[in-house]
Amino acid sequence: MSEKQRNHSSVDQGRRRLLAGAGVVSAGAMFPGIIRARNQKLTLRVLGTHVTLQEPIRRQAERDLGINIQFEPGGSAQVLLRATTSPETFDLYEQWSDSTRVLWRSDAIQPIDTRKLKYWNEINALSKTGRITPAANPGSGDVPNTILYVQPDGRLGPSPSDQISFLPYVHNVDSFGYNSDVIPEGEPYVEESWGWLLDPAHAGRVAIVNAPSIGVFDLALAAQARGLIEFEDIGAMSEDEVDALFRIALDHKLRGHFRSFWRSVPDSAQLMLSGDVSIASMFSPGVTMVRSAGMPCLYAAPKEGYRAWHGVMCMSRSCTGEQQDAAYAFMDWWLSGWAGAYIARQGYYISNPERARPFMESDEWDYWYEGLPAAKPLPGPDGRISVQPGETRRGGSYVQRFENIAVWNTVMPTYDLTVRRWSELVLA
Amino acid sequence: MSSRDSGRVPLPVRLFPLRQRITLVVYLTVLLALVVGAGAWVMTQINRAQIISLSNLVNTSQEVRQYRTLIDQMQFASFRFVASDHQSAPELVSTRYRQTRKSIIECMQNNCSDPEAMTRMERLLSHLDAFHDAFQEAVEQREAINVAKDRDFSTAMGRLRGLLPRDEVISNSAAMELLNDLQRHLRDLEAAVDVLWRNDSVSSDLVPEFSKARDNLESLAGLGVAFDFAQAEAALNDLAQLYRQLLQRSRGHQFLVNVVMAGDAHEMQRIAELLEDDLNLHVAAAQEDIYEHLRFFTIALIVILLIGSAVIFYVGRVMANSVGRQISRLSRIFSELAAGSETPIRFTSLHNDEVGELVRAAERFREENVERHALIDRYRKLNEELEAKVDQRTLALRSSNEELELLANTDRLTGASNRRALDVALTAELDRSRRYESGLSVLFLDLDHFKEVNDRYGHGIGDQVLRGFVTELRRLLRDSDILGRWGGEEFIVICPETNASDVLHLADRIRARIAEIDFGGAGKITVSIGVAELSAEDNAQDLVDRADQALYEAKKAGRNRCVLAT
Repeated sequence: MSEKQRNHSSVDQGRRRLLAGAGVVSAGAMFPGIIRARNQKLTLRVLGTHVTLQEPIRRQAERDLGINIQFEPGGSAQVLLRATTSPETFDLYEQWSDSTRVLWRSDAIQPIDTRKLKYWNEINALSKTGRITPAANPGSGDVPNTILYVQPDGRLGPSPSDQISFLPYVHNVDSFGYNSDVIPEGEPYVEESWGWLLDPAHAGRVAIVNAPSIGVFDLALAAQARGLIEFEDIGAMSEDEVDALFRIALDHKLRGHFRSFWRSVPDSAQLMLSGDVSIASMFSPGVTMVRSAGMPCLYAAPKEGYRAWHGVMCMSRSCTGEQQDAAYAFMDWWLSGWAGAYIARQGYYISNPERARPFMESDEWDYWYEGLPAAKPLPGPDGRISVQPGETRRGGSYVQRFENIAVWNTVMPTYDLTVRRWSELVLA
Repeated sequence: MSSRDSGRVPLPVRLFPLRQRITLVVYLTVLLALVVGAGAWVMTQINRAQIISLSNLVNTSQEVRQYRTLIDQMQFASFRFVASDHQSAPELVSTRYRQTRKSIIECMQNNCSDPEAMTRMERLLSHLDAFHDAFQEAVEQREAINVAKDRDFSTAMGRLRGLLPRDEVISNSAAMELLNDLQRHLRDLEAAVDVLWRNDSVSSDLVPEFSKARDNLESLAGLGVAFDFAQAEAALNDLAQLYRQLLQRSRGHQFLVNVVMAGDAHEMQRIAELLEDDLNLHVAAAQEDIYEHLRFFTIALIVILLIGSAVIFYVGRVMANSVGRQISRLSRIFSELAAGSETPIRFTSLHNDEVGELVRAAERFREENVERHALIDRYRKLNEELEAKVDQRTLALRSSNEELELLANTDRLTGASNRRALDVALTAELDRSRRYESGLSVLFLDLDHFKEVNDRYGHGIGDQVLRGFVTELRRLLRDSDILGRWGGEEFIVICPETNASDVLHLADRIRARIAEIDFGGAGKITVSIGVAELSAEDNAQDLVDRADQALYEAKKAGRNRCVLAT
């Protein structure tokens, strides 16, 4: 991979110069017709979550694209419901790959034409093949490429085609965070284990993300790591397996094992900071928040592998004409580098990293993508220092992390059952 | 108190004069009272503040317990609505939500607890809002599902059914079979939609059935059954679309209920629990704090009281002792001084205080004693000297008087009483004789022929004779008898308490004795004696006259004889 990246960088030397101008492409140059016709800017409506619908991104995109962009961030479930039932209320939908099947089945989204995507060819193998390196294990569940391509029968499948269900862009691997003041630090990939989440030693100080499609995997990986259960395919659990898993989880819950089922990243950080929780399934920005507040929160690199997720940008079925042009422009803008660099600073990866690289200092690139120790203090997305010199990203480089995937966030066929059992677990 | 005692003198006495010592005791007592009073006041104030904060905590704790009840009621009502479609439940949820929210906000505005609890309350509030929002959305979704189910889906179903070929136009049994199959599928679909929002019925398994229905429809058209295939297919697609929407709405509803609401409900419960635990801990800690303070203050007050009392007792005792001892010593000193003591006062006052004044007064007393005693001694000496002089003078005077009297009453030649003294003595004896009725006699003596002696031998011899005569007489007379020279050679003897016979006897012894004596140069001489005894009618002169008469008689009768007057 590193060789490949090097190749990219040499290839990209020319493109970078182009990119330098890409940021200032005027609205008039891009949508002359719209401006003339309406004498007012078009408004692109983007529905999604706070993870990507961030104000700096919106402002930058508006500046670069010369259009109005309206971000409507919300909770995962709420936005998914709105997307599936009212596709006419948005143009683009940004969420996780696990919502793709639902959206696709409910006809809420339309295929995206890869030929209209400026940077499609730059999108790396992870999204297109499920393997970041040819030798990597793609993991279980909805590996991105298996739900990316629209198959001739209209379903989604791994066989490449010009029609895709989503634009691959932001992705990362998740695990759990733990307070090393309370729980002794373990060696990444060797000692750190999902099993810690169900370790009775941490009873009462454990939090799980309140999202069945995600949390169920954290619980499953934990139970499996502790030898409490064995899954045929952890990414496609049977009803019996789901029931067995919930029996284990309920057993722990009734013994007061779980302090919380958190609903948002700030909540997860707050729980950790308040001392109520010392180990929790977490997202990267949550860990950053806790560490910025001065608490030694370690983002584990579990030996069982990560739970990976892939951001998807889908186009509403109702998005047509100029709105659709704007939507494609916005998708191209996302892959044009600035946004990739921006989200890299909060620990996320973009599907065409080489485009983002010129927007990052080499120290930043080395730290975020190469897994090297920070040579100097590095800023987070808000410009404040989030990484101290000498710090190394746990889990190693982009490649190393994505070579260790246990499962992808997935809406399994047993999802509805999981949802029903979920409230039983949470309220038990 | 001398310097050797100063080591034993208690410090307060050494440091302070009497008045200041008394003031010190009073001041210390007042100070102690003030300290104890101030301590009690401070304790009351601190405890008051603590008790107020404790009662605030308790109030907050009660409020939090109230939240839990309200939240429980709200959750129960919301899940009643979800599970049993109780139409009254949303109203109750909203009421409880508003109540809880108001109460929490009031509590937060009043800063009813510590920052940590306030953070929890903020989070509780955020989850409360989130729960309520999710519930509202769930209610709306439920509404939308019902509308979609009862109106849109039923309409679409009716339209599809209307487009399907009627039984009577079908002759082909295979086509009949297909139609029945399709109808059965539609009935199943209706049943599925009816129970769609029930918890256990949401499933994506039904979706593929639409393709089967579409196949059936196609097959029917392929068999030549007369109906508008295109419209029927479109109606079936609409139905499928509606169903998918219903399914998604149900899913969304399920997610809201099972995940979002459940998560917030769990978090609310846990936060409320933790809040209550925290508050209980705070209440317990606050109580312990109050007890601790009370204990501390009580012990402190007792210690202050004890130490203060001990100090006051010590100082008071030292003071009392110092004053008492000094006063008793001083009173002893004064008693001694009053008794006239002059011994130096061995009492040193350290201060120029009242005791010092007393000591100085004692010293003055003593000095006065000394002075007075010296004075008295001087007086006594003077007196003694005076008395001695007076005695001396008196003695001198007396001897002069005696001499004088002797001279006045004595005959210078013979030493016998003279005529004046005889007169006085005769008168006195006469009076005495009359008063005591005792006898009184008188001898009237006259030397015979004395003129011849004088003439013959000279007056010198005559005086010698007279002196010898008196001397001899004295030998013969009693002490009480008074001898006096009447004149010349005449003598009188007054004999008190003597009658005539006794005196005659005496007179005769005198005559006899004189007659025997040899008077030197003059030779023998005789004496004639007249004797008279006092009679009732006599006065002194009478008596003497009668004795003189008797003398005369003796003379006349021949001299050297004694004649008793008649």
